[in-house]
Amino acid sequence: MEDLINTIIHIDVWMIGKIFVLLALGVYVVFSFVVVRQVKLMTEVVSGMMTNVLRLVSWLFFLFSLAVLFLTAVFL
Amino acid sequence: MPEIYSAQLSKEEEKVEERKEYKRDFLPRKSGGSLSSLIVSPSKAVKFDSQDPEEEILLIVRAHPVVNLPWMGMAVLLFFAPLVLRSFPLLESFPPRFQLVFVLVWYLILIMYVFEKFLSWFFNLTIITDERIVDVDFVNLTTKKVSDAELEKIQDVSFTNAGAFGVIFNYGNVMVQTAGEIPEFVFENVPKPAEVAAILQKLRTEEKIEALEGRVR
Repeated sequence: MEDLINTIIHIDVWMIGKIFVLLALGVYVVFSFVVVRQVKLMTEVVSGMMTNVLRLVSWLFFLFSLAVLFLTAVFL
Repeated sequence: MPEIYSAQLSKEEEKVEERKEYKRDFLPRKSGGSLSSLIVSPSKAVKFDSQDPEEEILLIVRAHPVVNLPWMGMAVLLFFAPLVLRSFPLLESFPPRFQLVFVLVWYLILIMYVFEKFLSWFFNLTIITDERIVDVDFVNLTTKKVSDAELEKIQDVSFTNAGAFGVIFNYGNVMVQTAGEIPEFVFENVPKPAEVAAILQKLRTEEKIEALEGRVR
């Protein structure tokens, strides 16, 4: 019982915070991938209007969110 | 004398060429880029997925750029919000690295907000071809809707030009009632609604004449 209380007392709150931040960023990465897919689908529905620019921006957006997730996992 | 005569002829030829290029008198001149809200006779590179090979896009309309001002203003406010929040010690109880991550996440959410709003403006468009109208709706990041109606099925075209901004910047809604599967199409906040409605009415008439003459594709 005492061991359990000691374990609970010594839990690193910031580690839990980090896990939550990483979870949120994970959801964000999934969402940004949805954006990439949606932009691809929409540019297929109507093509020839800034198609490449929009696709590039959506991929940059996805890669940026992936980079933030990676950097947070390493440095936070 | 012969020079003047030939000069006049070349002008005539130019006019003929122009008439060939713009077959429909009621259509305005070719204008508008990809970001324009009223694109007349777009380049051949612009296509939509259910387009027939001989179908020609005459007009692409989307909401007037002015309707983007509210979310743009909001984005500017949100951009500067972390600077304002420095004055309030909301995040001071967190270690500096967490504070940095919160600011980073804030800007990630802001980028998502701006991109989503832009995409929803950009892809909410109506394509008017020589055969039908195609309404593309980008409801949100996970939902899109594409519906179309043939020009000959158009029963009534009306427009509203309401509100101070609508009158100042000349934009409004165009309502198209059809006998098709979707009874009404509403093109929201499109520029020059009267002109768009007039073009649709003329295209409908043209289509009906074609049907009477038996020139239906």
